[in-house]
Amino acid sequence: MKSRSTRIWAWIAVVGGFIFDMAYGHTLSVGPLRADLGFVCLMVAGLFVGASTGAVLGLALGILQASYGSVYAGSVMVSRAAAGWGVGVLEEHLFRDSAHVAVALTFAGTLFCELTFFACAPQSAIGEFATGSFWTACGNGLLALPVYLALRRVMARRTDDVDYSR
Amino acid sequence: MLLTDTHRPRNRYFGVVICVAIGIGLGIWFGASRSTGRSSPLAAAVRSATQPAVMGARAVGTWMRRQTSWVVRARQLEAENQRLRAHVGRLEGEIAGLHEADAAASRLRAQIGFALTPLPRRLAADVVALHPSPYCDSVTLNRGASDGIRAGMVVCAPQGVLGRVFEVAPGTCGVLLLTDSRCAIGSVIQRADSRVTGVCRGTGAKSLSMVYVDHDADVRVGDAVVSSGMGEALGIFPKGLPIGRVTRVGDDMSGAAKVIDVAPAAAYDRIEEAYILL
Repeated sequence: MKSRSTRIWAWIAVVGGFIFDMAYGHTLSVGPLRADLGFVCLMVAGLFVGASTGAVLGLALGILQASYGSVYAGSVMVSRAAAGWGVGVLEEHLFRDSAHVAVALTFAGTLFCELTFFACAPQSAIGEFATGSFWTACGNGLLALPVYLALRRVMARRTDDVDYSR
Repeated sequence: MLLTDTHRPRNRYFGVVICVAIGIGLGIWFGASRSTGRSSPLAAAVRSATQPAVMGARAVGTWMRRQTSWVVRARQLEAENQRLRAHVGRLEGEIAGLHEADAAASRLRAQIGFALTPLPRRLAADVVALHPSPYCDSVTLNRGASDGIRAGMVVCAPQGVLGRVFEVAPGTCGVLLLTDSRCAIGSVIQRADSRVTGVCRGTGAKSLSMVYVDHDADVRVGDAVVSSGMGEALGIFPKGLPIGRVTRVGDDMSGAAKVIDVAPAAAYDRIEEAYILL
């Protein structure tokens, strides 16, 4: 079982990341790179929680983001829930205590999330959407490193579900 | 390194199925509410709950920037101050002249029977969240239905038009910016010997595109573009609001029409306060 405090830290990370993103998200862009701090926190925190908690965290992030003016509310919620679940499932198979894994998973998770979003809400400008998604994935991947290093300090030592003896 | 999966597959999929079902249901609910121009009660409650934290975080950042920016910009400030004083002096002279011209125009319009359009009242609002969604170009303001805001109202920054209110909650409202590809505004070249009309559309990027302009229209780089007050289908933007300046003039692929790039007058990535036209 995941420890209770791990889940609490995961919630704090996702909600805190979302709030910071709402306040300063527009400054987290350099050229075409644009990072979504709330989503990055979801991906990194998802490394330390299970699939169901990841899905619930993703749905919660989707509700928060959709409440602030997305015109594709349902697609946002579903894509975040799917991405949170996906990283939670992988958490059961991957060695999570690695910055490389966190960065790679965030990059791939962003692309998966955007793909899920596109499947739910097809966009007419496919090229622009694909390019934007790629740059967002790059931005999120870069931001994942400091977020991972910060979250690992508070979450990793509280997670005791990995049975290395098996 | 691979670890043994200790969870049963049924449990693993159960969570995501429930979450996706909830997401679809909430999405339909949010969409139905938004089509009436109002936020769903859940979205309004989430915004009300998180707004103090978001605005608090913004206030901390603004305070820190103000405390530190003068150190960085100390050398520039004196030169900037002198330049601005000279600029204010010029503007005061221009305003006095414009008041005279406005009074004369109003008098003449009244004499020949034109209806005089009163200036709309303005309500100041702070930005709660700037570009909150990657899928639509919008801002969230801290004014809502309790302040008399309704969907469709026009929102301006001191420099020019920002966009239109597209959803309203009791204490906040969402504004679709002109740069969003779903937004358009009837526009006209302000230069007296041009007065070419068209439609400024968002491109999804930081610039606008003025379309429906004849290929032989008199448009030059640097021309100011203002709202034309026309186009009921595009929403009612009052006439004469600054939109931006022409940065590029070219022909479209068919050669039958001009393609005009317009740089917005308002800085869409640095909006701190806005005015809602009531």
